[in-house]
Amino acid sequence: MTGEELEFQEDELSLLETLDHVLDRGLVIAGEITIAVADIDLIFVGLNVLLTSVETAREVLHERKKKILSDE
Amino acid sequence: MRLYAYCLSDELRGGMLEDVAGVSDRTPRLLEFGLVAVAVSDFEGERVTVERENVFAHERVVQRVLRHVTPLPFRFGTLSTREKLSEYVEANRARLIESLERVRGSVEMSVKIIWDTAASEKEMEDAGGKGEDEAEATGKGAAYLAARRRALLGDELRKERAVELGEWLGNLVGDAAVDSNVEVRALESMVVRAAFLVRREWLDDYQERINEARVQRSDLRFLTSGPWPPYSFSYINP
Repeated sequence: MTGEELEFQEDELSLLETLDHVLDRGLVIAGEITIAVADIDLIFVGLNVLLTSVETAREVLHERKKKILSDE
Repeated sequence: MRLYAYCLSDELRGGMLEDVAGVSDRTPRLLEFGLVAVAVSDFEGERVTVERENVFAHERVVQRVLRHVTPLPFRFGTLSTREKLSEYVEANRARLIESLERVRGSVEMSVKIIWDTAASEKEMEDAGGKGEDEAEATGKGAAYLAARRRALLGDELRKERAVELGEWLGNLVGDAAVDSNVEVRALESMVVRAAFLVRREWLDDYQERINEARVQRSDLRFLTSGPWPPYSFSYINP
């Protein structure tokens, strides 16, 4: 296994990281956050993409490990 | 007409917002409240929809300011009025200035660590004493209790390892950051979610330390990003 970064599509990563920062942190004025989650699919798909990517990465790592072990 | 608020600073100048489109394609402008100015744009409607376009528009404006100075960003979806913003700045002026001093000249860098949960589960299972318990356990009840004990021991060990991982990363970055916010989530794949406040001139040093982290723990996956506006450090102490 290597320490390289996860291979997300650049725009997926950019959106997920941006959401992670802007939705959860930052200055808050009491009662002045007024968001509508009309596009629920975006958040759902976003998180799903992240989870899928983690799962995919894990599978790749397993396959790689198995190959290394069988080569030895 | 309501105002969408992006960020505030005591170093904001109008020229910093030239040629950048904000939420709903509105042009951002500054509202000055004494020494502190807030970047805002007009907004029609009662709510801001969480969608790609709006999220990136918010971040685009704050990032534009970050090119010049380090502001305190508002959370996405902050809709207010001139009067409310004035009240907010007035009521929190000293604490806002204190927070601005803390982030001045710095940016936020993000590190997420993902561990191989399958490998760690095997390790935790082994550490939990599988086999020994099962050999002693007779009957369904005893086997259940033995399995439960293993799971609890595994969870405890996982938490210990996760905390150690968070401390290891914090120590490795050390004085390359002026502040840090490290969250540990032992039972999740994304085990560490860290934000470091790094002085702009120390970014190379910080990057070298993150590279060193990758070398030291090649069994882990690192997801790094930045520079960000200091979202994780934009709070005002009560």
